[in-house]
Amino acid sequence: MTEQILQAIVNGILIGGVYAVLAVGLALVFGVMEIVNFAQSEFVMLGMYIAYAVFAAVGLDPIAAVPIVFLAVFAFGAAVQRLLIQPVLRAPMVSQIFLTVGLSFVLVAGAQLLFGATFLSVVTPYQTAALTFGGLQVSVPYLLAFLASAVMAALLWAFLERTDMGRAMRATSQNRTAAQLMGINPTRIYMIAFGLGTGLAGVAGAVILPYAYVFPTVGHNYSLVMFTVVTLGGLGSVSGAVVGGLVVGVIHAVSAVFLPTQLQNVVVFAIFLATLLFRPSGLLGAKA
Amino acid sequence: MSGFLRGLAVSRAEALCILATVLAMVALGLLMEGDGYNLRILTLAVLFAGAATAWNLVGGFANLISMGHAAFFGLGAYASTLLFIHYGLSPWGGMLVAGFIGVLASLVIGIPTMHLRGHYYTLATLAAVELLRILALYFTGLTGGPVGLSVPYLPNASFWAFQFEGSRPYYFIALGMLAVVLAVSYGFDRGPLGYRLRALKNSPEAAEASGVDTTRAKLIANAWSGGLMAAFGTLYAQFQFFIDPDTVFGFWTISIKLAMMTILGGIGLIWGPFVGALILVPLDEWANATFTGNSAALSRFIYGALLIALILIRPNGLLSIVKGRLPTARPQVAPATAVLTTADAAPGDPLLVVEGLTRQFGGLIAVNEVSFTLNGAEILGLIGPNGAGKSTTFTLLAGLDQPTRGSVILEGTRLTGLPAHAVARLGVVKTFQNTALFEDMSILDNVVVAGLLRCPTLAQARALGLEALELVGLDPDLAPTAGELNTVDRLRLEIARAVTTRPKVLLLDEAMAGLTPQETDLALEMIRRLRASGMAIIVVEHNMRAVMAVADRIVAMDHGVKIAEGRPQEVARHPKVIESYLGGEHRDVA
Repeated sequence: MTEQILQAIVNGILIGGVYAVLAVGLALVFGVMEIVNFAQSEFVMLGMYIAYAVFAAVGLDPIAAVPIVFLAVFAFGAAVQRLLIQPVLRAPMVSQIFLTVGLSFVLVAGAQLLFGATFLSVVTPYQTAALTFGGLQVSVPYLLAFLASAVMAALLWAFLERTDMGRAMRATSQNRTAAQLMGINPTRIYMIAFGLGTGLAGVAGAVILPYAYVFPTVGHNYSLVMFTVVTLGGLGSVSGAVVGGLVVGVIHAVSAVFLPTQLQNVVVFAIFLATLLFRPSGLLGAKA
Repeated sequence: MSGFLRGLAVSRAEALCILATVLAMVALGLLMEGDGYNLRILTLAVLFAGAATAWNLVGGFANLISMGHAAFFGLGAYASTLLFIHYGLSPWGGMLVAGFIGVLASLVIGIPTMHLRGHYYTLATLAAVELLRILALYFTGLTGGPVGLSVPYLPNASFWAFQFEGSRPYYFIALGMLAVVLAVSYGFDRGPLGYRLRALKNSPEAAEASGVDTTRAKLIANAWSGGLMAAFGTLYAQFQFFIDPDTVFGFWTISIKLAMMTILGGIGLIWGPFVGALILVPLDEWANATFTGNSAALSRFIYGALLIALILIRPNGLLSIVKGRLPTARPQVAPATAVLTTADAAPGDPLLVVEGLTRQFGGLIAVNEVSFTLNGAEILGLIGPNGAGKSTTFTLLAGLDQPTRGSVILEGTRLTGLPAHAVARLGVVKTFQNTALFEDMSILDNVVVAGLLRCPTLAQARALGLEALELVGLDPDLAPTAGELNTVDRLRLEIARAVTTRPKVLLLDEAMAGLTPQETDLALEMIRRLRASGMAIIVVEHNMRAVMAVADRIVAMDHGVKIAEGRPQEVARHPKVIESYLGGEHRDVA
């Protein structure tokens, strides 16, 4: 039993790293422009399909294809922001929410029209490989996904902390008006932030492709987990999303030891509701 | 008749439109073939019109964007069906139970989320419906799981079992239920709750400060919506004879569809969801029949694209074209018997006692151990340079923020810890620096919201509001909405709204900023008149001449600390005040 739980914790951390990257994108977008992107998980699907297409065309490993996937989804996301999100930035919340819902429908249905409803996957040499550490198994595809996510998170951190654009983005997220008065062009910031947020989701899609199937509605598997992670981390807090991702990943995996698979998500909802009740400002107590 | 309509705030033209719609709907129900396909679709359209109207109660009126109203719908469908199967309870009774469960569920979702930012309610509704769907799929013994649940057919007990031949009886039941939800919508739109909801939609903080219990208003809207939605779930189960988790707890099948219908017709408009449902349900049926298999994705794609286009091009929906074209009913106003003030403290007696008030933000102490007393019918000036902590003190006094330490006591009642609307009810009200009006509402409606704190009816609240508007010298017909007023009139309205709550203590936060000398003199005159009616007033003001002229006493602050207190001349000559605030140029002010 103990061994099972330890194994679940290891798996949970590895998967949680991916959740973190996914949720960081959502948190970044909310922090900067106060929009919850309900289509965020469809960008995971988009990343998976792009990685799949690259693999099918030239046989490039999805992990190695991360830069390509990131750039492609970033560009698409930035265009979406400019054309669709920018016009509703000052609109009522209901317009913002249902615009992203509409976007989600378009993306899922578009994928289905392009690729059909079939489940697709890639074959890698390390697909079934695992490292063993004293009875604990570490699956190689999980480990690679985690490492790629960690590198991505580190790059994002460096961007936000060390570059002028990153600083401008953090300033905008703290106080939009003040940032504007300091000469920061918010329109450009919003576009780049949305591109980054969706690009990160795309990267999460690429890195899980070696161990997960891709199909048009695959994003739905991640959307609720993702919202739980950002709520737990404090809506709009990037560092909170990282911690939240790891916590949810571990709880999710450990609960699978005790509960039937169908009820695994019930635990995620329990965390979500408990967060709302007891710690609405999130684990790290960011702005609420 | 016209008096009755006026009581409902329905104009004659609007009443005629309603009558024509009712006749058309009844005629359609009678003329269409009873067991035909068309009446079946129309019945579904009316059913969804009712459900979408219930969604509009939160999504449109209370600005709570639910993405999980299928939770209530599905609970209602399962509750009545299970009670019918296992306990033989008539679905009519089941519908009542369902409504009750819907109200309870609305509280479970609402209570933890109402005090948070709106996005949390949205996410909570989304999580709630997913949770219910998973549970319904898992507990197959109770719900039949993914296979679904059929309503047993009882041919001999038609009415009791809520089972009829053909669609016609269901159609008229749906129509009756739609009428009920529309009536509730009218109550929301034209009644006191509607005023409160519109106010909180415009500015939650100003609504609270004007005595609106915003949490309560939102919970009431959510409860009506949840209960009615559950009743439509029961009707759906009876009409279809079959339910399954993926349909009745469905994101696309119910939750999003209801929102889409409402947005299409016109969100926040009484008849918006009705128009949207009548267009979307038949369209949906047609699309489902036409696009099958893989091309079903095409219809989903078009839906998504249309939703995006709708939001970008016509975010207020189709009915917004008509809105404002119909004449509105003349509002009822009660005879002016209201008296503006309720203060009964004798002049000179202590009214408001502030003790050791402290507010710390992280490392910054914005207000530090501030104590003072305000006497009955006194005008107290609160002065200090920028960042002295004056506005924070006001925010604390009005209950819009809670102090780290210290207390505020009004006539022996402790205000500290109470929410702003309760503080307003007890009699301490503040105006907002730079004004926080209900921009989309008319001038009169801005003060009516505040009047509802003291008056049970709108007519009385209007009388009280008109009295306050007259006092500040603002014509209620000057502009169609508060958003179109100029700075001076905005300040007037801000004061009028605060005065309409009949405060014992009025807190004026820079109410004379930007006024010309003549306008300032008028404002001072008005403040003296308010005091004469029995109110005690604290003014925060940068215009030193104005403060010195009007205040009986002055409290001076700097860096969060009280540095001086006394008569205007004494404070003006106080060395600390001169040093920190008045400076050389103002030394001769007194």
